[in-house]
Amino acid sequence: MKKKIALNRKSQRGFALMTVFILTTVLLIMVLSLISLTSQTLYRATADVERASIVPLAESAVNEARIMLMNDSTWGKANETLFMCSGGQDVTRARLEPAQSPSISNNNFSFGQKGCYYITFNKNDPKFASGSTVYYSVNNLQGTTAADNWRGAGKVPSHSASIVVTVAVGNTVKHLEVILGPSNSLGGIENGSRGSMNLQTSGISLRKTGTSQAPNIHSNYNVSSKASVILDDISSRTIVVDNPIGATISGRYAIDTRSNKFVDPNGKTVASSWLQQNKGEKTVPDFKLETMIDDIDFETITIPSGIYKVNFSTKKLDYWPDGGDKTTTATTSFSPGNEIVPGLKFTYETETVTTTYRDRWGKWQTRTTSYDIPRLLISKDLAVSFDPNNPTTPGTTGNLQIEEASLDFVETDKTLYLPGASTETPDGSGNYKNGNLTLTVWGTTEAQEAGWGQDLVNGEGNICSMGGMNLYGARIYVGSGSETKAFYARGDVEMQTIDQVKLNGLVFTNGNFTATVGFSDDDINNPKCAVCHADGAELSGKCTRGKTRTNDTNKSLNRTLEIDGAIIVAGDPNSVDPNSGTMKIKALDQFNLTFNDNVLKKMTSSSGGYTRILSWHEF
Amino acid sequence: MGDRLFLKRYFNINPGPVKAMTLAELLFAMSIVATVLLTMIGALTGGLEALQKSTSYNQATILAQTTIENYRAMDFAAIPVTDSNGIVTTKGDFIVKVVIDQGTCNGQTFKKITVNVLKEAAKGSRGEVKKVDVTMESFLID
Repeated sequence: MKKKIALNRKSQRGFALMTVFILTTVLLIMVLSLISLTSQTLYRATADVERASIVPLAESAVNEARIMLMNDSTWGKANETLFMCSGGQDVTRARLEPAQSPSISNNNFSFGQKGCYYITFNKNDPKFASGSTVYYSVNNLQGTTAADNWRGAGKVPSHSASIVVTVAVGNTVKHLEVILGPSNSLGGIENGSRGSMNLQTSGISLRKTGTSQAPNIHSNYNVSSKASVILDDISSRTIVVDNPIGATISGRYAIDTRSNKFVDPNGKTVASSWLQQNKGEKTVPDFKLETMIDDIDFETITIPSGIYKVNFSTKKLDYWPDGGDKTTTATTSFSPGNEIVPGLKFTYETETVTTTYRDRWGKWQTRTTSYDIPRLLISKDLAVSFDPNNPTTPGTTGNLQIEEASLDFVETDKTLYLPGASTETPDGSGNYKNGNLTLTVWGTTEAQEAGWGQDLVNGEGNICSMGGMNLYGARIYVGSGSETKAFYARGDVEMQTIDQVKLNGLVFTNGNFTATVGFSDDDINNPKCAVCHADGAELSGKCTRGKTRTNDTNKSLNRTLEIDGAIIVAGDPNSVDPNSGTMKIKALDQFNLTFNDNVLKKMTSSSGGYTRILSWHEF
Repeated sequence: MGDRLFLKRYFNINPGPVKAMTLAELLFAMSIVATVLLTMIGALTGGLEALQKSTSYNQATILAQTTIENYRAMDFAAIPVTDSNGIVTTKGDFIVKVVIDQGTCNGQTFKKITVNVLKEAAKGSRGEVKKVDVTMESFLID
């Protein structure tokens, strides 16, 4: 018999309601969880937007600090601050006191979105709320030892800057610390010209050394209707381009190739991507010569300014103060072995030189000949005499005119400095009154007839002039060494040689740069023109310099302009002339550039400014 | 009734005399269930819309960041300067507008990049879902 189980009736009562209550509770929990989850997700999304916006804002702050350092390498030493607040951002979120100075933005960048950033170099800055850490920056770019920062002692390495940015967007706050170091990059033109660029040659070779990037040679010439860059050949309508590293030549506007064909050394057509037109304007670096040479201890005895000319008859070096008449007896004559000043010695030697030439039957022959070689040997850092109070007084103008004696740097890293008034502005032709160098070395008549000439400049030294620089002669080898500068000229640089020009280091001019390599001075034997040459006056009429190309059959000639470093034709930054700072290169055989960004280091550190980010830390 | 027969047939359980729920009880329970369900549905749709919006915000943020990163990776000289209308592109439902201004500060050229990512308002279950609008600004130097 089945046992009947009687259920308690009481337990049946309210069962449905209980179920409903339980279900309701469960559902409510689920609903609440869902609401909480979605609201949190939305909140997080909003915070993500703020967090994402903070990074570009912080980067802008760092970039603004870098601009300040570019302009002034000592920026920050006087407890400077940089404050930006936009869009009604509540700065107290960043634990900054709104009432404390700076209470309004003192920065240069203008933002439309909500946010704020603050950089201070004051370690006791009251802008930070009482009791909170003062995140201050330290400029130790010029320091030779480590400096202290908010993290502790010795945390900022020498030659670096620690920039700490406090940033807030909405309710999100972040701190960013970057370590900046001097940069080898100028951030703008690293090779090229402010004005137009005209390159005429048979071959172009582009290389790089060390950690340098593939070079770019850029022209900023600001006339849209004209070509920024003109590339032309010498005669064959073909230019050999040896560019295995992807270097480029670019122009602010067009590049005119004059219908030339560009082939690689194997004869294959070069892709046109190496020529880049319409690349816009690039920043042209500018810096002062004074900062470049401020760490050089020049000899206290300076070279008297004026004319120094070799007399091949007497084998002496004659000297006239500025404006002297060379047809008259020299004021002073230096015999071989004499020192003009300590560190500058005159020598007159005979050297046996073997040259190769093609005879009238077309066969190669060698010829050994003895030539007179007068030299001025530079063994110390030397400056030319310049009196800023009497800049026109003969002997103290800072100008140097040397004829027929080559400049030989017999010690490495020595500098020849031609000073001038830093406040002087160039005349309409871009010339300065002081600090000009004119060096003419064509050699003896026999040497000229044999197509041989001695070096114009030689050795691992540097030449810096506050005026222009004119070099005429056989060949130039100059530069190199740890100081990594070859030429600096505030005025125009003009050089004409029959043989190779090799410049190791940085070539920088605030004027124009004109190099004519491989062309003899056809009128050198014309007495009238010879006077022009000697006076350094502008040639006209028949006295055309660089008219006649050197003999192709002279095997010993290497008519190449070679720059191992960088060339910047900066022009005059204050000039309204769009063609200020033109670069004209006419090299019969080759134009070779081996870019070495190391040569820019001196310039970047001396101008103080160009920096690169070594580390980036957000907290 | 089926439940009762089931209990009796298979488990020999006598559930006792049947006393039906009152109409009031039923109505009360149903109203609670209806309220909860309605709330649940409302919360679900609202939550989903909020999730959709936050997803859109995240997408817009990523788009804005990517756009700025793209310009940052470019050669400074190659970054184009635009007028106030900027460069407008469409990526999915998003409209990306980039305005680039150029200026100088202490002689140094800079470019200001303003990226605005916009997703227009859409019809949601409870009317218009608010549009997504993310703007980022950055100043780049050479």
